Amino acid sequence: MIITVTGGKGGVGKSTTTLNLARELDGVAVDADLATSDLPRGRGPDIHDVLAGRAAPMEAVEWLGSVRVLSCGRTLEGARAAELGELPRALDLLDRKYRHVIVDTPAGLARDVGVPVACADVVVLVTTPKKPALLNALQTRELALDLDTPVAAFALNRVGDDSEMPDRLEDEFGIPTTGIPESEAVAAAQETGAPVRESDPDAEALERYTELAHTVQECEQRGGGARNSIGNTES
Amino acid sequence: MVRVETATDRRAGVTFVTAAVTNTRSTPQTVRMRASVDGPMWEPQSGSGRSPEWGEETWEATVLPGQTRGTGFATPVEPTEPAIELVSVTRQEGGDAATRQAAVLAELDDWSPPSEIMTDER
Repeated sequence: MIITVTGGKGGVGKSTTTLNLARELDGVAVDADLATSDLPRGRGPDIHDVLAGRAAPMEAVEWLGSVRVLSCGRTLEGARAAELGELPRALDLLDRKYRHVIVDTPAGLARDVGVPVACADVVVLVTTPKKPALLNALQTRELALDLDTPVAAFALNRVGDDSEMPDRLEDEFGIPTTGIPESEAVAAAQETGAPVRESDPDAEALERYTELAHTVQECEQRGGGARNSIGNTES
Repeated sequence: MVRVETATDRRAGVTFVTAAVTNTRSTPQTVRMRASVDGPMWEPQSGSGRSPEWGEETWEATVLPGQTRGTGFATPVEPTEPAIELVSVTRQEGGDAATRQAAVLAELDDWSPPSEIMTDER
């Protein structure tokens, strides 16, 4: 199952969500934020190499701590050589090997977001309660609907402890919403590139990520997701 | 062909009109239906607006082969017969999901790496 984590706005916690979801679902985190990546960097070939045809997707997956990651290079040459059109095929190959492929995306609504949204089974929208972030998330939701990819969940980061926002989002859009309060555990996870389960297993945030993972799994059990093969024929 | 089953149910002063549209053809069909009520019409809401399939008293949606889609609305007045009826059925041009997706993707801004934010770590 390919799960694309997106949201439009930068800095709302997409990469942290990706990493923690990959840990909770025992899947592979794919850093498809080709130019401004945030996931931890590995040592071997990276997604730039995969998208330039220099490495097979499986070769580029490595364990970084407790999470499998297909990381992203940090060089401009690498990003330039990467063919976005190759991404669907790479994700498809990973999907055959791993049960869950969790894809981190850049900010914005350009084609580097559209492609991983189009080839996903479901999308997880990440946002904060701030208005610009919410508006961006809703625009991304429109894009997902246009591309026939269902939205599995909202991850509402940095939400107040007793905020009604998660309930309101759920009522308004009919999308299961997990609120993830701002916490030291999440900040530490972000800092160290380790998922909360490792950095602070007693943290409440871990429960929230587990809940989010369950929501995604429920989608899977319902057979959610209109998989399609966009771009697979592109060379 | 496209089969339409409708039902109305009046409860507590509100009439609920529902329709199920089934496409038994082998190609996607764009189905248009019109509601006819003599009074206010409450279409389903999606988020803060009217759900995208609904226009002024008309519902238009694509039904894939073998698929059934449901729709409906509510109204405070007694229903007229028929409360919702089929207006037109046309084969959807520009075909399958992959083609439609490619069209959506083609409209997005092209992707190119911005040069100023790359760091050199290698």
